[in-house]
Amino acid sequence: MKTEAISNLFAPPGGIDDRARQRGQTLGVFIAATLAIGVGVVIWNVLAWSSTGLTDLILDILLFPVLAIPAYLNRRGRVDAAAVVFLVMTIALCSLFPIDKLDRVLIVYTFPVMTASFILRPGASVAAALACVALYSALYRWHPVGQTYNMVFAFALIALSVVAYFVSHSLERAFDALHRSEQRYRAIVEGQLEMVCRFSPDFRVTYANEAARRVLGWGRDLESANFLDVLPPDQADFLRRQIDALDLKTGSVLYEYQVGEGERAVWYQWSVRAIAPADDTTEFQAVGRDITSLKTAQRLRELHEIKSRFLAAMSHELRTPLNAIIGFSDVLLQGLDGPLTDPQRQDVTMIGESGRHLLGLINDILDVSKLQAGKMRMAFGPVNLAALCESVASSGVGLLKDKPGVALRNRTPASLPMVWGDETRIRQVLFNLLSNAAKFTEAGEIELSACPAGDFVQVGVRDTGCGIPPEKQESIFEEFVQADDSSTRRHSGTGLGLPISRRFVEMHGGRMWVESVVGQGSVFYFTLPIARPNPPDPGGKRVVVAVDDDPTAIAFYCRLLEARDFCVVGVLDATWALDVARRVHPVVILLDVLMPQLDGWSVLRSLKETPETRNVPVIICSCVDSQAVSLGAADCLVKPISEQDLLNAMQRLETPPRRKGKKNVLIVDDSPSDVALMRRILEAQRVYRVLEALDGQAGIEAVQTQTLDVVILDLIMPVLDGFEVLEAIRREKGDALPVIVVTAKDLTEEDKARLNGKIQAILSKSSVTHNLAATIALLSGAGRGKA
Amino acid sequence: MQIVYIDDNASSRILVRRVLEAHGHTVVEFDNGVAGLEWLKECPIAPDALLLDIDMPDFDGFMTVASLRQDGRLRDLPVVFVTADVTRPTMERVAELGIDVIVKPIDVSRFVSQVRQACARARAKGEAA
Repeated sequence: MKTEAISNLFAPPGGIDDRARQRGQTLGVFIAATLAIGVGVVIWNVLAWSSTGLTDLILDILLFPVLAIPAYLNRRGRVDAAAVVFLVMTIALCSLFPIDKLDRVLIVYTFPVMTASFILRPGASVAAALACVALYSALYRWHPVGQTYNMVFAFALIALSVVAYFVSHSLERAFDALHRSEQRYRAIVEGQLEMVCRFSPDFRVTYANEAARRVLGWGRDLESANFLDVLPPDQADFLRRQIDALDLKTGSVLYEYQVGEGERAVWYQWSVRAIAPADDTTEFQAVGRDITSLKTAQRLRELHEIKSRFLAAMSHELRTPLNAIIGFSDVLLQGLDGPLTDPQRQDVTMIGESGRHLLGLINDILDVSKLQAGKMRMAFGPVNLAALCESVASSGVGLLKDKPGVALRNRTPASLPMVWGDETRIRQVLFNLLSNAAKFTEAGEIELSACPAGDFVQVGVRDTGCGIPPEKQESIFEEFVQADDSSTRRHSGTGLGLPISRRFVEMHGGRMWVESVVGQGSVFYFTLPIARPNPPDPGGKRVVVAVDDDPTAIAFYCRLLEARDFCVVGVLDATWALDVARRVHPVVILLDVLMPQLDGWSVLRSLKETPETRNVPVIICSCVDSQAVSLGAADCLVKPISEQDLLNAMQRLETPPRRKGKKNVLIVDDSPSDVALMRRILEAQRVYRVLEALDGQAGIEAVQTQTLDVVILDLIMPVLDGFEVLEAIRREKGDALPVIVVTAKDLTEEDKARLNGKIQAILSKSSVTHNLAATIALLSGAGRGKA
Repeated sequence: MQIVYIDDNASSRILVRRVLEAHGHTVVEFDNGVAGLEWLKECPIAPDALLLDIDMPDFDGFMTVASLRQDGRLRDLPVVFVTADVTRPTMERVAELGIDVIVKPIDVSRFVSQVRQACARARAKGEAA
C-alpha cells in the first residue's frame, strides 16, 4: 500500500483516459523505484567514501533533479513524453559511466524492466527483466567490461526496446481497433431505437438489444424469453407459418401489427431473416420498429386526400345551384323576362351579388386548400405586366360603380419590362388588391403603379381608405383574418384574398407587404421577377433566336421550327437580344421591328456591330419599309407570316438562290387576286420568273410564244376554259410541259376523266398557299439544290 | 343557330335555353347523353352546335363526345362543354380533347358570345383536321 502511495506521487491524476493512467502508474512505480535505488546508492557512496570519488557522488546527487523531469511530466498526464525522457536519461547515464559499479548496475537494471513493463504486458516485463539481468551478468562476468562494451550494451538495449516497442505497439493497436469496432457495433445495435433480436429456430431469444428488452419487457437475462410471446396470438401463428416457409438463403419476412386500440394504438413492424443458414447454427435476426408515426402520417395523408376530394366535390355541387341563382338573376336584370320595377331590380341584384359572393368564397377556399396541399400549379411564362395592369384597372372600374367619390387611376408605365409569372395568378392578385382597396375606401382615389426595382418589378396599389394599424399589418396576411373584426359586418369577405395573394406572389419568388397609416390609407406592394431569357440547351440542334415582344409570335416560331429540328430561343425583351445572340450562336435571328423596349432597327444595328453576331443572318419579321436589307438584314417577311413564308426564307438562307437559271412559270387564271397570291408565293422562292395570262386565249398565246418550264392553270374561266387550254397545250407541246391545275371547282368524275394523264398535279385553291411552292419545285426541278 | 344542349340539371337547361332563345337561337335540350345522341343521329340536318355537360349519371359528357367522334356525319359537329366541374383531372381531359369549356356558373351577359367563339374555334379545328 505504501509503495502505491509513493508511486501515486509520480503518477498522473485522474482525468485522462484509463489506459494512459495505468501506464502512468507503472511509470510512476519505476520512477519511485529508481529514486529509491538512487538514494541507496548515494548512502552507499557516502559510507564507502574511500572507494568512490567526489565526482561520482556529485553526479549521483545530480540524478535526482534530472529524475524530477519525467516525474513532473508524468504527473501532468504526459505519460509518453515522461517515458521518452526517462528512457533517454537512463541510456545517457549508462553510457557515461563505467559499468562496474553497483549503482550503475541498478540503474541499468531499472531501464529494461521499466521499458518492458511500460510498453509490454506485465508478464512480458518480468521475462524481459530477467533476460536483461542474465545478459548483463554474462557480459560482466566473462569480459573485462569497459567503456566500449558499456556503449555497445546500451545501444543493443535501445535497439531491442525500439523493436519491442513497435511490435507491441502494432499488436496493441490491432487489438484496440478490434475492441473499438466491436464496441462501436455493439453500441450501434444496443443504442438503436429499432429493436434488434436474434432467436433460434424454436423462437428462443439469444440476443436482444436495449430497445427490444425495454419495449418487449425482457430483463438482461434472456433465459426464458420467447419471440412468439411478444406477438398477438394471430400474428404468432402467422409468423410461425412464414418462418417455416421461408427461403433461408434469401428470404425475409416483413409484417406489421397493432397493439392497443384507438388513441393508444401502437404499430410495430418487424422484418425477420435467417443468419448463417449454411451451417447448423441457423438463427433468425429480427429488426422491429415502432411505425405508429408513419401510420399516423399515412392516415393524415389519406384524410388530406379526402378533404381535397370533398372540397372539389363541394365546389362542383355548389356551382350547379349557383349557376341557376346567378344566371336567373342576370336573366331578370337583363330584362329577358320583361321589365322589372325598381324594388324588384334591387332585390334581384342582391340575389345575384350574394350568389357571386358565395362563388368567390368557394373559389378562395379551393385555392387555399390547393395551396395548403402544395398542389397549386403555376403556368409560368413571360407576362406583359403593363398590359395586364391596364386590363385589370379597366375591369376594376366596375368595383367602384357605387362609389362616385373614389377614382381609380392606373399609373403603370407602358415601358415596364416583362415579368416572369403566371398571368392568371398575377391578374388574381392585382384584382384582389384593387377590390380590397375599393372595399375599404369611401372617398379619394385608388392608384395602381409599378416600377422596375433591381431584378424585380415592384407593383403598388395605394388607397385613401381607413388604413391598417401597425399591429395588424402582418396578421392580415394570415388566413381568415381581417384587420377590423367589427368591420367584418360592413365589409364582407372571406379574409382569404390577401393570404392567397401573398402565397401566389411568394410562389413567383417575390414578396408582398403593406405600408399604412390609420385614417390616411394603405399601400399594398408586391414584387415579381423580371423575365430573364435563359437559353435552353440546344442539344446539338441548330439554334434560332426569335426576338419578338409578342409571346404568340415566338410560340409560332417554336412550333414551326422545332418540328424541323431547330432549337428556338425566344427573346421577349429586345434589350436582351444581343446578349442572348452572343451566348447561343444562332444560325438565324428572327427579329421583330416594333417592340416597346427597343426597336428592331437598333437591335439589328448592334447585332451587325458586334463581331460574334455580325455574320449571323437576320430575318426581319414585320418589315414595314425597305431599309431592312440596306441595314444588313438577310431577308424580310411581312406579318402575318405564314408557315411557308418562314420556311422558304429559312431555306433561301441555306441554299443561296441560283439566279441565272430562273424557271419560267405561266399562270393562266382569270382572277387577278389569285394570280397575285400565286405570284407572291412563287417570287418568294426567287427561282421563278412569273408570266401571267388572265384568260385562256392569252394563255395559249403565251404557251406558243414563250419558253416555259411550268404552267399553272385555272379550270373555270370565261370563253376558253382550262380544259380547252389544256388540250391546246398538249397539242402544241406534247407532254413535255408540266401543267398544274389550280381550281376552286369540286371535280366530277367526268372532269377527272378529261384531265387524266394530261396534267401533273391538281391543287385546290384553298391549299395553294401551303402546297404550291413544294409542288412546283418538284415538277420544275428547281429548289432541289440539296435534296 | 340551332343548338342542342345536354345537361342532367333542369335549372341549367332552363337557364341556357332562356339566354340563348333571348338572342334568337333555337335550343333542343336533353337530360342525358344517350337521348341526345339518338336525336342527333336521327336528325336530318345537323345542328350548329352541341353544348354538353360533363358530369352526368350513367353516360357522361366524355362518353357522349367519344360516341360523336365515331359517327361519320357528326364527327365535325362543334362541341362546347358547359360544366361546374373545375377539378384538374376533368380539365386535363377536356384539354386533351381540345374542346372549349364554359364554366358554370355561366356569365349570362357573355354566354352567347362565348358559345359563338367556341363554336368558331371548334369548326376551324375540324376544318384544319
